[in-house]
Amino acid sequence: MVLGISQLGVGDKAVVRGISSVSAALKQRLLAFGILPNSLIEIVRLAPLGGPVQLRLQGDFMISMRKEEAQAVKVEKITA
Amino acid sequence: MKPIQAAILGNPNSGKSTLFNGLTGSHQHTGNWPGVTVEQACGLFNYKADIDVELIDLPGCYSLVATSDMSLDESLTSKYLSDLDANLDIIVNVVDASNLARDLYLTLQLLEMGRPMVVALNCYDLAKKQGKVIDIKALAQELGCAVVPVVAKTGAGLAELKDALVFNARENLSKASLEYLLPQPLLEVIDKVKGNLPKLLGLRALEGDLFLCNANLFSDITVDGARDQLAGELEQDVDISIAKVRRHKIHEILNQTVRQGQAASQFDLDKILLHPVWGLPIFLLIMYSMFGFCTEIGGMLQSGVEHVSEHYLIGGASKLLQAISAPNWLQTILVAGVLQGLQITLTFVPVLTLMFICLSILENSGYMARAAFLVDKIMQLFGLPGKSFVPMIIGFGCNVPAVMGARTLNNYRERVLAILMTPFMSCSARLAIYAIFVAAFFPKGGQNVIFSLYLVGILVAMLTGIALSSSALLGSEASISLAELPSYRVPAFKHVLRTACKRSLNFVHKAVLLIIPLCLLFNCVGERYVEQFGRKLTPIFAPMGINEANWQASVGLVSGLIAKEALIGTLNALYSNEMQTTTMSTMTSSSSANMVASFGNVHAAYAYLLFTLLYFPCISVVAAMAKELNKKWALFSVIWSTVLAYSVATGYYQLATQQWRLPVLGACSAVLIAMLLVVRVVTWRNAGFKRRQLPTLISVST
Repeated sequence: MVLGISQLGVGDKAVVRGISSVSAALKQRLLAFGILPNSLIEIVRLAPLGGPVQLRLQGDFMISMRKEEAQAVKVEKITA
Repeated sequence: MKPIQAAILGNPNSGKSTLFNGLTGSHQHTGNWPGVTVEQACGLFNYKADIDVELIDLPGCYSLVATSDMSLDESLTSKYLSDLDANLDIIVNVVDASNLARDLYLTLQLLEMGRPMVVALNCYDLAKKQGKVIDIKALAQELGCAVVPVVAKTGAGLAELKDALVFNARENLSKASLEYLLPQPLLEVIDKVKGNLPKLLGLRALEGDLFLCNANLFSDITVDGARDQLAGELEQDVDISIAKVRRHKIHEILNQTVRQGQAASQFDLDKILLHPVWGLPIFLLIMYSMFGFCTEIGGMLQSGVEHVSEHYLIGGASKLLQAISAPNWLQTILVAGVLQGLQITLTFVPVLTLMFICLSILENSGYMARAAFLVDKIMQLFGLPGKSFVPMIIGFGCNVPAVMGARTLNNYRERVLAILMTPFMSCSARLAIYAIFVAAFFPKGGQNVIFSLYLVGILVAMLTGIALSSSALLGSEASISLAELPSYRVPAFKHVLRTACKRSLNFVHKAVLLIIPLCLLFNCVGERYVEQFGRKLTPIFAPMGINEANWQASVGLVSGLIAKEALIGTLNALYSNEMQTTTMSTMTSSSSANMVASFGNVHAAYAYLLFTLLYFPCISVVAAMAKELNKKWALFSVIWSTVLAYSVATGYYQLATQQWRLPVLGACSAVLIAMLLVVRVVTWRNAGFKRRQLPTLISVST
């Protein structure tokens, strides 16, 4: 099932399936960070007060993004 | 021999600026990039006594692809490098060895350009700690360019880097030998790139790069035509396919060159600092101690500087001028104008430098990104990123470093917003005014009065933020929240100190030119006509409760323009029976009693405080704004804050004294609404404040 990242919970791992329409600048940043189809992500934690989400990308690379942006990245959850 | 032109660039947090400082030492000059307020640092070093190398520090970026919705600041690096005719001999790409998978993406994009390049593999020590063994020779082979391991913080490997830089620039070596595994349709299009240009340069044009897609790179096909063609043949977006090709290459390179050994176990600091419950309190505690440190130590140093300059600079100069019996007008100009202006600027230096040191430590340690993560949701309400919280807090100490600290925000729109909100943070100079008024007028519950003033300031700042962020006055640059949470580092002390000093000297340099003429204006013209002038001015303030006999209060407001604390000295002098000009920051009891009598009632005093809080930020802040944004925005802030101050103070006084002078109240609300409307209307007409022109198209001569 394909979901937006913000529908995942802390500790979930997922495979990126696609990027829905976002601004050109954001798309380039996502691609530069290696968020593209078939790459792996993991939800590390959520900021207080419903703030951004912290993700771990391949190569142990940590990023944070607001939920609205995270929602644009479509993923499929990996069930262990 | 002609100097070598080199450019240094890398990902943000790759240690690029530290390396730049290490290479050029003190031989550097900073300014701004043309048209924007992004710092441009250029430096020079001499290689083996006979070759000069000129080095330019390009803003850090993750990708070279510039898009039309990026702010000009963010696309600077791309623009600079896309000028294919530019006089640039070699690129120094700083790569963080402990974060290769991230950094190599930019490296590949750079190599695609086919320019001579050297990779400086930074943080080599950190990578070792992580258990990574990097085969430097293999990496150089894979990339097709020289790779030099360095540790920017300690300066290890810099000599070798210089060797490689000069050698490669002189021999014009390392024309890209980069090879990609491209899907067939892409390969066909790339083949159409004009003969003398590197084929792979076509990739960035296909990704829609603002500067290359109009550059006429291809023969017998336009970029748009090629993109349309590809969209049909590839099964996904062109930019995603290209990113995949690069990722694949990175994967391959890492497989060939990096062996992951046993990592030294490291404690995950984020478990504490980003703790769901304790994260925020810890952040506030860090802010509080940083703030306390800066204002306490800075305040002590500040009074030291004041004392020294009062006695030696100003005192000495006036004695000297009297001794040589210089004409009176000259004495006034030099002492009251030039020297006093200089003194005002100098007193800012200690606090400024300390605040900048703290900011720099926050940034370089990696904590700033965490702070932004923690408070992002709160700041988002005002159209600001979490990062802007820190300069705002600094504003409670002094607005000047707060305005300058907004530099750390990477988007012009956000900087404007943050800077316009800053002046409403009650700085410590304003607190001194509150304290004196509270002692005189509100012997009971004074702390509540002061607290309410802080709150009003914050509320007005929020209103400003909401009003402006929902307007298009600021342009429509896409603001990206997606950010890196870099690994924690111990900041390089020398680098932190140098950055802080550079920033505060920058302020002094610029501000003095604005502050001296204003000091002249206020001090020289003032003295003689003070009372006359004050009496003429007072009726303007009548609606907020300053009665005609209380002309001293309006003169105080005028002197508060120079520095808010000057207001106290002026009131003290004017309310005391004997005229004396001091810069004392306290008030004698007789002056205080006179002041209470002159104001008549507490509401007038509170309205006066409201006005003092909100009106014209002091000239040093205005100078900082003009420097960080431009003169128009500084003027906007002056008008915005003064009109708001007048409306709020008048509104309060009229309501509180229950005089219900409807016309006055109506006028106040009309002014407030008009201001909000103006912000809207300007957006519709899309006139004024036009900051940027479209980037010039770059053409390639074939």
